[in-house]
Order: sequence, then C-alpha cells, then structure tokens
Amino acid sequence: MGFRIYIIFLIIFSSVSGSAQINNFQGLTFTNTSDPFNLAPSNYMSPTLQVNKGDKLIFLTNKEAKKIPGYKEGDAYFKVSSSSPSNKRPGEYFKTTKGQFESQIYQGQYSNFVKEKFLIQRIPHIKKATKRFEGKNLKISSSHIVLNYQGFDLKIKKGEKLQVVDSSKFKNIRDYDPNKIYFQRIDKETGKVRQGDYYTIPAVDFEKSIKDGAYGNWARIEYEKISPINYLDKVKPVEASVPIPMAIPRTKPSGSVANKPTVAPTVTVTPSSKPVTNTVKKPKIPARTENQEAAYRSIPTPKGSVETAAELTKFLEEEFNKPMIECPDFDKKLKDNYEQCNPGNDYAQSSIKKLLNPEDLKSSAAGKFCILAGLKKEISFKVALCRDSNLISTRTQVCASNEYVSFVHKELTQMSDCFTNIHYNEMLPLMNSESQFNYNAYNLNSWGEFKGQLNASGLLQTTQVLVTDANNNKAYITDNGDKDLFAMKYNDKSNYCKSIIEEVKKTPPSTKRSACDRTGIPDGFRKSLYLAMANYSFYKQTVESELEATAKAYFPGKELFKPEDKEKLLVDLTRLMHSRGIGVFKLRMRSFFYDLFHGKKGQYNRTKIEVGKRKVEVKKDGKTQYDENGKTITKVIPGTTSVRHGNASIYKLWGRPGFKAPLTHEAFISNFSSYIFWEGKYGKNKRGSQGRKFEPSDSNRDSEGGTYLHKMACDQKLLNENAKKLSKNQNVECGYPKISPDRMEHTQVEAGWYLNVCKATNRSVSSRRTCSAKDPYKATDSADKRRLTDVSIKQYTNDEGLLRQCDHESLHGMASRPLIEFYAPNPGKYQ
Amino acid sequence: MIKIMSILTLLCFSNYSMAKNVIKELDIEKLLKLTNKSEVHQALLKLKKDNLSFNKSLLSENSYKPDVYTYSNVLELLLEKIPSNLNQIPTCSELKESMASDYKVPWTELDEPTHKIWPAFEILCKK
Repeated sequence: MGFRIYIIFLIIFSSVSGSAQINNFQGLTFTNTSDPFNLAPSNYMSPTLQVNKGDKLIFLTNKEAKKIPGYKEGDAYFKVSSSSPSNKRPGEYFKTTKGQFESQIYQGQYSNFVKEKFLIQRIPHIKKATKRFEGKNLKISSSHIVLNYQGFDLKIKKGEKLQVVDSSKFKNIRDYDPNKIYFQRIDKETGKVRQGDYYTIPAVDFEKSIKDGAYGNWARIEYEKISPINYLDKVKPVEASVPIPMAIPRTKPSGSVANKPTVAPTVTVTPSSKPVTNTVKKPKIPARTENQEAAYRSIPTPKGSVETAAELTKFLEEEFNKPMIECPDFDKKLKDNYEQCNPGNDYAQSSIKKLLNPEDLKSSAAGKFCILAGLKKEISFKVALCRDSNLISTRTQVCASNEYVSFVHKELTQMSDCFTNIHYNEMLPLMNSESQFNYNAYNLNSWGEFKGQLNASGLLQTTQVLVTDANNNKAYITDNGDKDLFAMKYNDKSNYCKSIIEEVKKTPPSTKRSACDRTGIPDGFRKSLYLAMANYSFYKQTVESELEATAKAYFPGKELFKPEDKEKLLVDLTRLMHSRGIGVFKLRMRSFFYDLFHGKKGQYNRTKIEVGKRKVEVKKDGKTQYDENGKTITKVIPGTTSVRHGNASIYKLWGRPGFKAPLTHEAFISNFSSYIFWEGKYGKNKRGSQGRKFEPSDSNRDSEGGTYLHKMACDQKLLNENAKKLSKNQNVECGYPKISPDRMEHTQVEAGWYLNVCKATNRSVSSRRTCSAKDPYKATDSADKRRLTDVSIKQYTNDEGLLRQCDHESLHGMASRPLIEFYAPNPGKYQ
Repeated sequence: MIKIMSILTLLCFSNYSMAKNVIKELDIEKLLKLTNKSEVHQALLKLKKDNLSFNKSLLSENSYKPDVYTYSNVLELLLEKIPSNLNQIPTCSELKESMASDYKVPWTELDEPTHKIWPAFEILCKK
C-alpha cells in the first residue's frame, strides 16, 4: 500500500440526462485528513480501531450494512484501510453513530472540502426545517450571535430580539441568497421590526446556533421535532438546478463502473503536500479555484503516481477480504516455546490428548502466544492436583505443552462463540488475571459461613453460587427460566454450545464444594467455564442496561458516553462487576450518577448537640458552626451535605474539561474507580449521617475495587509484552480493550512512584499511602523541587519490571487521586 | 406505594439510627405479618413494582436523598431474587448465599432492609 497513491475523492459526479447529480455519501470513500480518532468494531467485541491521518474509510451503503450482524439503523458502518501494519484489520467492519459521523464531517475531519459538500447538501433540508420560524421572533439567550450586515460581521448580544424574515419578503431582498437565513432586528424601544435592515447568517450556522440553544430551549426543541436527526440518511441526490457552489472538474466516469455507487470519478490531480482548507464565500459562483481542487488530493506518497478511485476501492476490498493475521513462522515460534513435560507437571496431559484433533495441535493462532505468556508467569495462587478425586494442593503449574495450550485455546474460542455478546479477546485479560490460564486454579472462601471452604475455581474462577444456580436451572442456563431476567445471548448455531447447554441441564455440576469435581477434564472444567462465561454474558447485559438507564434518566435523547467508547466501557465495567459483585456495582454506579446530578440539590441535615444535660437539634449546613449553647457563631467551615451514602459535592466534577458529556472511556473509568475506592468496602462504609471525610490511607477504603482495572491494565500489558517476545512479532495483541499508551504510562509511573519513593522512604502503610496519594508528576520535596525528574518518569515508563510489581497497594494513590478533593479533609496536602 | 414513599421520604430527613426506627413502620412490617405463601409472594411482587416506580420518581425529583435512593436500590436488588413463578425460588440457604455473593460480604454485613425483609423471603423459600 505504501507505494500506492490514492485520490481523495468524495463525491461522485455523473451525467444523468444532462444534469449533474450529487449522490449521497453512502458507498463513498473518505480519507482522514485530520487527527487520529477511534472507531468501534461492528461486532462490539474486537478492539477499537485507531484511524490515523491518511487512513481510508468506505462508508457502507445501508443495503450492505444491513447484512452485518447486530446492524443498528442509526449507525454508520465502514471498511477501513490503515497505512499502519499494526492497524490492519481485514474482514472487520467498524462503526460509529451517524450523528457522530455527521459531526466529524461537520468539523472537517475529512477535509474542508467534504465538510462544505456535506453542508451544502443539507441546506435545502435546513431551510425546510427552519421554515416554521419564519415571521417569528427569537430572543437571543446565549451571550451573543454573529450576523452579517451589509458585508460586516456584527455581534448581536443576549436579550435582543430578532424576527426571521418571511419567505414572502425574499423577492424584495436584493441579491437574495437561498443558502442564508435572513433576520430583521426588533427595536428595543418600540418592540417593532426595524424596517429595511436585513441581517444574515448561513443556514448551517443558523442550525448550529439553534442546536446550541442560542435562542433558548424552545427553539431547540421545536427544531429537533422537525429536523432530521441524521442527514446522512436524508441527503438524497440533488438536482443540478440547485446552485452548487463548487468548482469540481466534472469528468465522465470511467467505463463499466460508471453507475456503481462505490466508484469514484477518474480525476487527475497533481499531488499536493497538504490538504488546503477553504470555505465557500460566494456560493453562487461556480468558479474553479486552486484551493478547492487541492482539497481533493490525498497525502502524496513518494512515488507520485495517480490511480483511479475505482482501483482504490478494489484495493480496499481486496485488503478487507484478506484472512486474519497468522504468520508463517508462528508455528516454529510456538514449538520453540512449548514446555517439555516432566512427571511432576504432566498431570493433565493424558485427559487432554483425547480431546484434540491433529488440526488443533497444528494451529498457529496468535492467541496461543497469549496463553503461553500467561502460563509462563509464576503463579501466586494454589492449583488443584487431583488423584482419584482427592485434592492435593500445590503450586506446581500444569505443563505448558502444545497439547495444553491448544486445548485451552480451543475451549476458550468455542465457549466464547457460544455467547453473541462475548468475544474471545475480551476474556483473555480477565482469564489471565483470574487464573493465568491454569484450568485448576482455585481459592477458598475468606468470609461468611463457608469460610475456609471452596469458593471459586477454574479459568474464570467459577463460584459456588453459579453451580447452585445451575442446579436450579436459572436463567443463564436456559431461556425458559426466570422471565424477569435477560434472555441469554446464545449462539444457537454451534453444536459445541448446544451440547454443553444440554449437558449442564441434564447433569448439572455437583453442588459439593470440590475443586477436583469442578476442574476435572473435560466435564467439570467445561461446565465451570460455561457457567462463568454465561454469568459474564449476563453481567454484560446488566451493565449495558444500567448504562442505558443512566443515560435515559439524566441525558434523554443524547449521548452520555462517547459512542466509540461504549464497548470498552461495557467490557471494563463488566469486569468490575465480576470483581465487586453485581450488588456493589449497581449501588456504586447508580449513586455515582445520582451524586453527580442531584448532589447540588441537597438539603443540609440537622444534628444534635449537647447543651448541658439536654440535646438541642440544630441545622448542620457545613457552613455555619454552632457553639455549645446552640447559638450561631460566625466561623465558616467547609463541608457538604451530610449523608451516609454518596458524596453530594461530587456534582462539582461534572462539566469540567476532562469530565463532560459525552464521557470518554478513560475519564469515566478513572473517576468511577476512584468513587468505588472512596465509597469504601461494602458493609464497612458506614460514614454515618454526619458524612465524615476520610484520609486516603484509611483502611476501609475499597482499594481492591478502586485499583482493579488499573492492575488489570498492568497484567494485560505484561501479557502482551511477553506474548510479543515469544512470537517475536509486535503485532500480536492479547486482549481487548487495548490499554491506551497514556494510561499505561501513568500506571507505570504510579507503580514506580510508590515502590521507589513512597515505599522506600516511609515505614508505615499509612505514611506510604499518604505519600502515594500525591501526584507523582507534581509532588515536590522540602526544597520545593519536583520529586520525580523527567528522567525518572521516562525510566519508570520503560521499566517492565514495574508491571510485575503492580498490585493494589502500589496503585492505591492512582485510585484515590481523581476524587481526593471531595473526600479528603485537607486535599491541599496531597497536591 | 404512597406509604413507601412517605416512609422513604422520612428517611432522608433522619439519620441512620432514626431511619432504622422508621423502617419498622414501613409496609414491610405489614407484609411480614402475612403467613400465606401466595399472599406473601404477591405482596413482595407488588412491593417490587412500587419500588421501581418510586426509584424512578426519585431521579426526576429536584432533590438529593442519597440514603433513600440507596435504600430503594438495595430493596430493588433484593426483590429481584423473587421470581414471578414461585416454583423457581431456590432454597433458603441458596438464596442467602446468593444475596451475600452479590455483595461479596458475609450475610450479617448486608445493608437494610435485607435482614428486615428476610422473614418474608423465608416463608417462600422454606421447602
């Protein structure tokens, strides 16, 4: 692809009965001419794709997109060709919402030329939609709007009234421009229209100002009632009689491809070094300018040749249909790394061999390197070695042989395929964190009446509750179960899935708390894996439903989360639910948003103070302090509404630059993890009605919940690095979502800061935590010098050893910091 | 529904120890007096429905009642354990373990109204 040159073409021109026709945008190829952005995979399971500058996207036609499983009407689907080898994803479709795509176009993501082209197609629709405002008065409710008056831009300030000019008056306007909206000003004194003076605004800007609420909510709501939400669907071929303010050289389409919608025109252009921005100033004059032509051009390649867009499309299609990456040398690399078993660790070999075909052993899928990488890391938990169903607790891991790795890979792939909302890739990091791919991992209950007895076991640590539920034929075993719960998202086409479901129904796993029963190959192992994945699938639906309900409650009709980040959020939050339990997750999630959106509506509590022998009830408003007689004293103390659950002052977080709608995955995960941390261990979060504040070192904070995803990021990075080393291939990627480089850097610096500074210079857990709560990028020493130099930061970022030492304690500060200003009694001391 | 709302509303103006006293007056108390399995089941299903509406109404209110909201959420999660079809209810020990597992804490540490409402659950789950 590097030697090829592509034309940025966007609009197809063809001659139909002698008139030019502008097709809509479907089926066309777009080139990203601006900053990188992300696209979600269409199946919501593969990793998000980063679309870099110069990458090409084919915007699929509705007809084509409808064939994609899980197609949603409001989404725009793409095939993407990336110039970066690590971003090549043949065979995958990507999507975003049509609104988001439209907004990208509007913001010039695909060059200003495309933007203009798009806007111009919209004008007739905007004009139609805004017709209902004609003759009506609009009062400016934003700080100002800019209107053009006789060639000059004028700021019209808040409070002024404007009347939208009625179409009956257009004939009276000299040089009337149909692409603009005309206003007359209302005289403040008389309340009447100032005759003769016309003020204009481009129709698209008028639309934007309405949507931005410049004329108040009434106008916005009215407009949304009548305006199409997605122009991408509404923009239809426009007849040439509509003024087309562009000077694009119309050429005849080449040969047989002339009428195919995905084919671009044959346009010969001279490559330019960069796309040129230009705006349409005089829409009626179809003069060809150098700038407009330049906007057609792609970023040139060194060779400098030009190809037709038809070839481009063909190339993209070929690339799209390539098989998934499987390097020819993977086979040898795998063989080099499989372990030779010995009598101490070959305990699973004979059972596994019976379950494999020769093809399973020969497959050299990249995922096998991930499993190998997990197995090669030393374990910190116990594994069950069973002799005649008798448990021998050991730390001797199963032999990482070709047979074992192939077995786990095959079972994971097949089992993930049983659920339509789960993908193998998203399970890898969770499985790595839970068991490092040891089928016989187990742990004992540390609480409750079953303390000391088996709690969970297997690749995903299946719990006793799941086994109990399997015996009760609960909903995630069969859709004929409890109708109050979600219908399971089964893949009913797979024989493997059908048989495992039947097997679980027919002979549910034994309710006996036995690690050997649960991990026996194949029966116990398979049933446990099925239950854990079914539960995960159920959790994922629960999270999705919670997110939807939250968005609906607080942001009806609008995006609360960035559309392309939704799947990443879903996966991470499902993992959190897996870690903290469905109950804790739901309570925290709901109260987080409740605090954000209701916190400022709080009423201050009352409290009782002792006055002599009696108690006097006084208002505790956090601002006024009372003396012992219940009389007000003037001292103003900081405080918030005193409550037992939630933190009223978090509402101040909303709308800050890093935290406003639509929320990004990174911002939400960081702040919500912190919320989980501060709200404390469930059952021990009794803050009392007085709403005490806490130090970050407080032992009842939920440090495990608050750091869970951060720790998993370390584990995933380490898994990735090791898999890359084993395969000697930088394209091997273990797990979804991919951790952003920025987050990874922060996580590693955090671990380095804790281990090399806080732990090294403080003795007590409390003082180490106090230290780690300070921002490592800003913390200073007694001489007011930055404690961490840029060199240290860089060193930590590159130190793989830190990834091995990432634990809940070393990431404690990372969990506490985002919300420390709302919870710590003296947040200043941590800056 | 109105009773639940009034009681829950009261909760927001009281501290937690006061709230516990108020809970005693809640409809749950009346529900606990029922002994017939079918009546208890129906009453719990009704409470489930009412609580969902109440929970929704809290979100549309121009107020901040975090204790009440949490209480309603805990109640919602508890009542999700009650299936529409009574035959599908698990045994009491399984139900208890499942409720504790939702929060990954011992049974004794679960939030109210878990323990308060448990006797009603017990009527249904006793085989």
